[in-house]
Amino acid sequence: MKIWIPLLIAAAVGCAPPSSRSSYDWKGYDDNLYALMKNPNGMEAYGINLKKQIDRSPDGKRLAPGICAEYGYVLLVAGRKAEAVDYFNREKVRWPESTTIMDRMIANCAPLSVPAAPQATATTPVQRVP
Amino acid sequence: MKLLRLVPILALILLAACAPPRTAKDYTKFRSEDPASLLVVPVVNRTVDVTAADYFLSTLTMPVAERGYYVYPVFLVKRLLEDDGLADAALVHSADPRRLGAIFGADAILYVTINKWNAKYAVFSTSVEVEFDYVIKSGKTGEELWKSHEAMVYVPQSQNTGNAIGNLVAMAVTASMAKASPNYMPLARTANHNAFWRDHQGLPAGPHLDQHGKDKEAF
Repeated sequence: MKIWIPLLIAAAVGCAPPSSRSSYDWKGYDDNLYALMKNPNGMEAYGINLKKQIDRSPDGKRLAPGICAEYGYVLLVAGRKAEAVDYFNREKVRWPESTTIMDRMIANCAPLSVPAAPQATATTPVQRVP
Repeated sequence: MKLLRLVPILALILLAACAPPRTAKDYTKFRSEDPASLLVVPVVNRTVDVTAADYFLSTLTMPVAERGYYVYPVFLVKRLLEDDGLADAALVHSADPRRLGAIFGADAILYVTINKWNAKYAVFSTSVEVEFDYVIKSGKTGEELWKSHEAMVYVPQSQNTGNAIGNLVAMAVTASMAKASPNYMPLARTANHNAFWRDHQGLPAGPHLDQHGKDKEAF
């Protein structure tokens, strides 16, 4: 049965939905998010895939909304606050619509943690990890 | 994997031609607010399948963003709401849209409810059924700006499409659906596509598309 599938796709391409005119590079995005929803402990893998997605669009033109913000959040949860702030700012620059919530996230990152200080759970509620 | 996922979608498109026509929606309110950003909040699940809400949430960003809107990061939003005491999606849906709009700076909020997400097992075939309600409310006034209802049933036995290729597609879908846990995601994606993209029914092109403000004949 399986060998038929590529053939079917080839035959059916003519009536494919108009999703081909995609504005952004989503490659792997929904699978990545789906995997995280299936396994909420899979934040690290989620972050790695988001980073790949970000790196594929150095000029940010094909970068989809929310990707930098989501990656910033992964970094924040991991305690990497300075980097998190960097990505929250990138989201803001690329997508000004995100300014309100990104400013809030950036405020949550202050004060930037001293590397040795293990106070990640004490400062703000945002950092709670299940 | 990607290709496999397309097969059921294509099969559904073959079926979509026989869907009854709908009356055109009124876009007056939507146009006057002209939202640029949409906050997709966690999905309310009225089914017994506890995993449906999170799985479905993962399918909503792409079709809305591709319509030209800024979509807030759904996982971050979900976590922030949980931290704010809104872990239950029903609580989020009953909260004041203006409050959500203010917290996130969102022009509008997209609320989705899953009414059906189930499989019926029979001796020779498994039918899969999904049904969703989509509502967009203004983050400024709280008023409803747009809504849609989508229901899709996949019934393998009725898939005689009248041509050899169509039938082969149907067979491939049957094979993938007949597994112990049917995959609802292709149906969910197709329902989303129908909800957001159809002329006179879906969302007008948002500010990030060139057609923004120029598609008044279709919406």
